Amino acid sequence: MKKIQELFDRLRTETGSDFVGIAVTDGSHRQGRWIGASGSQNDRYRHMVLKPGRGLAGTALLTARSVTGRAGSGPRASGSAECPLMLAEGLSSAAAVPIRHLGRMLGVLYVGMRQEHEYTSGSLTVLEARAETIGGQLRDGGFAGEPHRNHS
Amino acid sequence: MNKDRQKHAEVIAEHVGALIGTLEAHIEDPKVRQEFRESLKQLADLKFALDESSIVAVTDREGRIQYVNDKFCEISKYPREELIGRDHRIINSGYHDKAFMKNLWATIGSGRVWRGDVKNRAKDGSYYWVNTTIVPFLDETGRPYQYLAIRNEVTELKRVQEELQQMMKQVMNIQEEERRRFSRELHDGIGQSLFSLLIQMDRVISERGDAELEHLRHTVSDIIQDVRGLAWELRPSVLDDLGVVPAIRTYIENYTEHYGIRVQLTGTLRGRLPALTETTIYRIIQEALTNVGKYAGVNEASVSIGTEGDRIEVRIKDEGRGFDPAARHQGVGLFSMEERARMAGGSLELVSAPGRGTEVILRLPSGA
Repeated sequence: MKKIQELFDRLRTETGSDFVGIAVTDGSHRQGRWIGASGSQNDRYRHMVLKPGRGLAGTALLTARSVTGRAGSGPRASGSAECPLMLAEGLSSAAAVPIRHLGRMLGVLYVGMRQEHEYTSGSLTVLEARAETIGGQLRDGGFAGEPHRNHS
Repeated sequence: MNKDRQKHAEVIAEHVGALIGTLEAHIEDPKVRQEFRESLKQLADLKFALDESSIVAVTDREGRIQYVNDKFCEISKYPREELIGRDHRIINSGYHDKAFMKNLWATIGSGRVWRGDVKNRAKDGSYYWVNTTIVPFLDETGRPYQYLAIRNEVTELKRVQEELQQMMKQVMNIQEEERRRFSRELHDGIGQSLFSLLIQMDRVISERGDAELEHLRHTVSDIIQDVRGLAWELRPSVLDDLGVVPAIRTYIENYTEHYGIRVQLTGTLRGRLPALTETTIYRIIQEALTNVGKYAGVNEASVSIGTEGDRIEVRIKDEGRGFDPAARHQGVGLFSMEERARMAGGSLELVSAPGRGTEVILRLPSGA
């Protein structure tokens, strides 16, 4: 368990983010769960269910494309009011990148910043390459933390 | 016009004219005399302006009318002689309760100014609203010996406010009805059609096993889930079928999956309630929890539903950021919650302060 957390922490350092999380689909693509995160302010993400179209991660899952979001209410703001994870973690900008392996959708890599920041197409390309690697690791049983269940 | 106004006792600044006439005889210093004259004239002009602009009345300590201006007679439709010596009960509309009047008298009786909107009844039985300011005049010992009431008519404003409220009520009813209709249409119409499509596909698949069709079947099944989800979001049919508590239970499950906030639900209701009551409870909990999700910054919240005698009490509470309820925020959330509560014959209380969490308390008659 501790080892997995180290993986997430390293991922956060490498991507230079305030928050990083990975959600994995349950095979049906209808929903997924967050299997872990680093830089989290609370445990809200553990109770969230990833659904197609819900928030940035859900949009990435539904469209199989990378999406970015910015908080606030300017012409440049997008998605934060709709993204429960940005809300829960107090992120001012975030990006969700689909994790695929051999064309199959496995989950979503989610990164976010709490201060003013813009995810450019360049940084998305880097994240997508990273997601590619994670896809392989997921297939090989890396990051294989048990998805968190609701403790009710 | 002027002569008219001289026909009755003025009470306020009554002898100004005569006093100005006697200044010559009593005050020797011409400079002081001039100042007196100017001050008295200003006072008389001020009173004239007040009479021109507002409905004015003066009463004694007991509330007996000593003076009314023309505008007072005009709006109350009482001739002056029927008003002088009577008290304001003559124009009482019966609209305000005892507590309201008690508060008014307690305020002015202690020498403080009272302000408020009052509904009165004219002689012909018609009603009119006046925005009222009552100023006590105090004697040397600080006790009121006279009250000056200045009023302005706001009947039209009140009518528009009431109309706006009715409109709001109608809009909410229409919205709820539309949601109910769309939800049913989606669920029973498109939902059912898709379902029978699925059955047909299953038959073909079982007859000649087709991988591509199998894949399509999954897609159709996904669409059915989407349609059902949409129908549920618009208005959960369980609200009509099983009642508000099961509906809230499902709502909270979905809420936790969305916002990641755990919600403790306590209490229950005995049996079913009128449709309007159940809808009100559901929508207010929904609205309050959405606010918690967006603004409170907490990991958990609680909802309690309780019955006390013939009253229902619903509380939605969080220990989060809170806010100052006096500083009304943007959005119609709070306003629509209050309006919904009122429509169902109940009331809404909001307890919050910055850093102290928020509690929304809905009280309703059970209608049973």
